[in-house]
Amino acid sequence: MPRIPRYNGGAEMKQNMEHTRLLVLSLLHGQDMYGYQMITELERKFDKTFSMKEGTLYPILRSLENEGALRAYTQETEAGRVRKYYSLTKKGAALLAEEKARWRRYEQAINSVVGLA
Amino acid sequence: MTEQFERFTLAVCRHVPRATGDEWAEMKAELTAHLEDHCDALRLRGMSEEAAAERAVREMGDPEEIGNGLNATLSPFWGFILRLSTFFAVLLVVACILPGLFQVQILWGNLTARFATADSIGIRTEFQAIASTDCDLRIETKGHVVRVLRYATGTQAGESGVSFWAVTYAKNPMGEGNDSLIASLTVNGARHTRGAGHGSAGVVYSTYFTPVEPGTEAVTLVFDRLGDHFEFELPLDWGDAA
Repeated sequence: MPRIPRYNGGAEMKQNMEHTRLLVLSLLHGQDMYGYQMITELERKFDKTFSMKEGTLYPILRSLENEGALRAYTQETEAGRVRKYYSLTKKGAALLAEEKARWRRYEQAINSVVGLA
Repeated sequence: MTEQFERFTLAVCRHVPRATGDEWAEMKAELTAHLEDHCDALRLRGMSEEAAAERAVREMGDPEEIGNGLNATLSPFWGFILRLSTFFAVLLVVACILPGLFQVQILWGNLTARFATADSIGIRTEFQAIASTDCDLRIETKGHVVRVLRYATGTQAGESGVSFWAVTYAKNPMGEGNDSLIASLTVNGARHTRGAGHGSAGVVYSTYFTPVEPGTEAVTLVFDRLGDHFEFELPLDWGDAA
């Protein structure tokens, strides 16, 4: 069960962040979402095999927004709560394709070592 | 609930020094909305409000880690430029306001002097008055006005004499007072021996004492300065001291 450790610039954290970037980009492919919605969607899809400290999602979202991979906009709910939605840009879609390819290479490399390929 | 969320966001904020006010407000709103959404979801599952808020905060993670992560997404350059701009903006405002305040002080002093009475001058001296006479003798020079508001017979430091109280201000309400004008007033042309006064940029209040023989029936108050010449005959009252 991968966990994002303390923000210490370590290799494990960097790797987990990259995985979370891939997950975020994948979630936003085809549907705009706000932060808490992404967390609940991740929990639902992974059925608790993946967990992360929820707040660590936001630096990743801001980082992707800075890169131009995501576009953010706010929307008010009927209850008057203002939510910040994120949508995938063309650049984000291209980044998602790159991240997927990188993940496949990583997966193949791991599988070849542990003998699952 | 709100208090717990506020504490959490404040703890995050401490680690986002590069954020501008607007940037932080946006981040705080997003984190707070997340906490509220999570709390609502937990309450729907039957959890108490307090327990739900506690858990929502706990599951957000370490505020320092989140704050550092958010801070890393902000440009140190723009933060520096922002602080520098704020510093110069404050400096500019102060530079604009200070002269304005000085002008207001001049105006206030000038307007007050136009309506001042001898009682409002408030200068303390060792002069012991025998008989005081309130008046309003006006001396108008090219740019200034001198008003003599009171004169009195009495003693100071064992000497008998006459004191007068005067104020001077510029005709232009925004003009500065001239403290040498009252000093140009003399009794019988003799130099006064003691004086005191106070004032601000717009106005000068002064009192001067000149020795005069007790029983002198009248003195002449003379103003002679740069071609302006005024004389006032002042009858004196010595009471029983004469």
